[in-house]
Amino acid sequence: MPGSRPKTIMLSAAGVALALTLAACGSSSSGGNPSVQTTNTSNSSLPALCGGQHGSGKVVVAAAAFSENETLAQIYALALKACGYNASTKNFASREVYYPLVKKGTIKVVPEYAATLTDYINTLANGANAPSKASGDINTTITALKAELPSSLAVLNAAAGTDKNAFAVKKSFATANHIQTLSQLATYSKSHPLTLAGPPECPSRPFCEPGLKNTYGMKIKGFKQTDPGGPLTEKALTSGKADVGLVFTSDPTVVQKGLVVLTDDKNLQASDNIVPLVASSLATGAAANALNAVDSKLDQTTLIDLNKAVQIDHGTPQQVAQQFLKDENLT
Amino acid sequence: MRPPGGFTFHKQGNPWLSWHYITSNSHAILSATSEHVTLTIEAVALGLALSIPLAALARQRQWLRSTIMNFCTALYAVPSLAFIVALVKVFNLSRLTVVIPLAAYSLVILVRNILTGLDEVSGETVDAARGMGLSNPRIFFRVRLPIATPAIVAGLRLAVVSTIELVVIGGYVGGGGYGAKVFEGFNTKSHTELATYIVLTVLLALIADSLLLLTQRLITPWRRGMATS
Amino acid sequence: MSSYLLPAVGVVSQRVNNSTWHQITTWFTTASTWAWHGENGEAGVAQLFWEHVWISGLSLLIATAIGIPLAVALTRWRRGGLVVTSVANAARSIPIVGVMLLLAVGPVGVGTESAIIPLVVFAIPPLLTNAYTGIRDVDPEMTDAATGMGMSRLQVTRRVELPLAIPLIATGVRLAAVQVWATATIAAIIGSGGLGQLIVVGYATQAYGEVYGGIIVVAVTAVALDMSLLRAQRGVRRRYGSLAPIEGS
Repeated sequence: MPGSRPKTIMLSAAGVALALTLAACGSSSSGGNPSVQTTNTSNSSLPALCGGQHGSGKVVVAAAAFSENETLAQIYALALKACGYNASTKNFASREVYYPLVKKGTIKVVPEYAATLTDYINTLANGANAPSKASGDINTTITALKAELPSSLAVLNAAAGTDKNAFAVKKSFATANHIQTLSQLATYSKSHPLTLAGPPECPSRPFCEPGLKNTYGMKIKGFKQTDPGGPLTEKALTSGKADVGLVFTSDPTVVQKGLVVLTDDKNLQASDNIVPLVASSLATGAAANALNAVDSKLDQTTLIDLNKAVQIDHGTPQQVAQQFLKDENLT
Repeated sequence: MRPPGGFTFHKQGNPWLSWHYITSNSHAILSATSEHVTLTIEAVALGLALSIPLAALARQRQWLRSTIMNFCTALYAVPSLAFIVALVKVFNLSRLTVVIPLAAYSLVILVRNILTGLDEVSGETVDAARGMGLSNPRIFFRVRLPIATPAIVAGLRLAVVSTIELVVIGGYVGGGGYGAKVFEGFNTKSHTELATYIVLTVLLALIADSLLLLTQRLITPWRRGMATS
Repeated sequence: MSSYLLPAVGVVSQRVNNSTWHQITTWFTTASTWAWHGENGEAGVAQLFWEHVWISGLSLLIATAIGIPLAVALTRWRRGGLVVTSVANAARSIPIVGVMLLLAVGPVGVGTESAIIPLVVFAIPPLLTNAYTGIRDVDPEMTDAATGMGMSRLQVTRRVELPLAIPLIATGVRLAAVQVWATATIAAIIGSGGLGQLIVVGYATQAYGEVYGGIIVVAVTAVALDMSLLRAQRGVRRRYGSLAPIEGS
């Protein structure tokens, strides 16, 4: 009976589950990525993402304590493992906690956000009131970031996927008025002034209400105080209490609630693209190849899907990371 | 709006407990379990290694005894969050950040039980050993400690169970074992992950307690059936 | 003794450098630290201390209101002892931080309620075990005599059993109070306020003054509570006597 040999049963059940997952992956990803022709099935040869190089040694990947960062850390760790590194993840309360350890070399990899990291290092060096060096353009931000990084650290290629502030409207509204960008919304607002929903600090922060007014010339007739990209903002938009609201680009609930993020065509928001912060020793070779290969797949849709898989479909970060790497033919 | 071919994940519910979760995460569960067990063993071993000399010292003078017991009691009263966070900056990623506070918490239980056990050793027994020409250190390790063993094992049971529970808080500062999973479950709002690892913690404590109870009975067969703790 | 401690002190002073010491001393010597509100409107130690007292006091009160009558009821039941030991064992092995986090992401939500529920539940076992043992160990001759004098069941409990059990009930209250005070610190992780907030917020922002200041305040208050309750408990024992002399009477 089950009680007598629980371990065996658990393991065999796990085997069945794994086989099912593999079968499901095979069917869903067939034809998905023609660029990668061979998938490695034997353990001795390295997957393509390592770029033919073999890594070794202990690598701790840090994650800040929120779901998206934990998932990305798992993806990075599994990719590094596939290339031969002894990689593990560790969670930290915040950047303030892990960054000193990254600088010291105890932590070797962190999934970071380009603009926020640039500003963070900038304020560490030049004080809290130092003018921001991050830009709405990711290349400019990366250049600024590379210039201020200590020599022991490096950043690899930034992904297309971002987790930054954005403005969303109801999908039906966007379709009806042919609005896809904030400039188009600004034009529309000339004849129909808008109500904006956002956190309490929105009316005073350059990226929020003042930015919409000054950079885009948007006409705003009222402000509805809600939360930073949370359920209150979404509700204000879906219920029609506000026309446009502040959300986050990688938040999976935005799409679920029938909202659509408008393109920030004048680069009002700082470019918080996903970027791996690594120890200089990992800036070339297998680790760099692997993390760059992963980042090349992390576009906005994929990032939202990864977040949805964890936050809405309740996969563990590890499960989701594993399936992502398989689906993208990375491991 | 969204390009086709995005990443899709099979929807899993967020029930409080699910067998499917356990089977599909068996690998993660096993490695977290081994980490959790290792941390527990390290902490209790360190606690035991410290508490034997402390107990021996406490028996020398009454004032030493009360000082040591008060010190252990005070340590025990320090909230775990404060203790663990205090050590993060000193030991960084080292396991010591979690192991040292847990060892410190086990002291009060272990020292008290070792003292109880040592107090049980009668004066006649010690005199007899002395009569056979045994030196004081030898009497301690060959006579006193063995006689005190049942009480020590009873203390170990309490210490192990509470340590297994306390390892979880270590997840807050990046410690391993079930704690890492519990905090991951919190950050990803997964009822399943949280509840599973809570239940696993209780099960692990139950298993460890039963194993120690068995050990206790094996080394002290004459006490079988007697109530402990 | 001090020579053994030196290496450890060396490690600490190396890693905790001058600027950290400076931050800690600044934290302690800034008046607004101890005020109700800090300079930027953030909660000061006074407010956090009050929140901590409130959460702990309320939890302890509810737990006592449940635990003591439950103990009385269980002494009336043949299998009561089994229930009491099972509850005590279970409570020792359930990770309370896990339960708090689960309630916070689950039905109850982030905030004080998710903290108070587990604080109450986990304060019950020490109250229950001690009160149960205290009442059970009352000499049956005493209760028989009281019944013989025509006291009702409830009167026997109120006038004989509970007063005689007071020394052990006091032990239970002390253990529960110390545990609740310490655990309420963890509740700051789920945003219920209290002194733990200094540690949680300070840790996340790596403000060493706040972290270490918070750690010291939390540790000192916890140890002080334990010590003063221990003293009070000894006072109770002296006044009501332990169970031993009662048996002789």
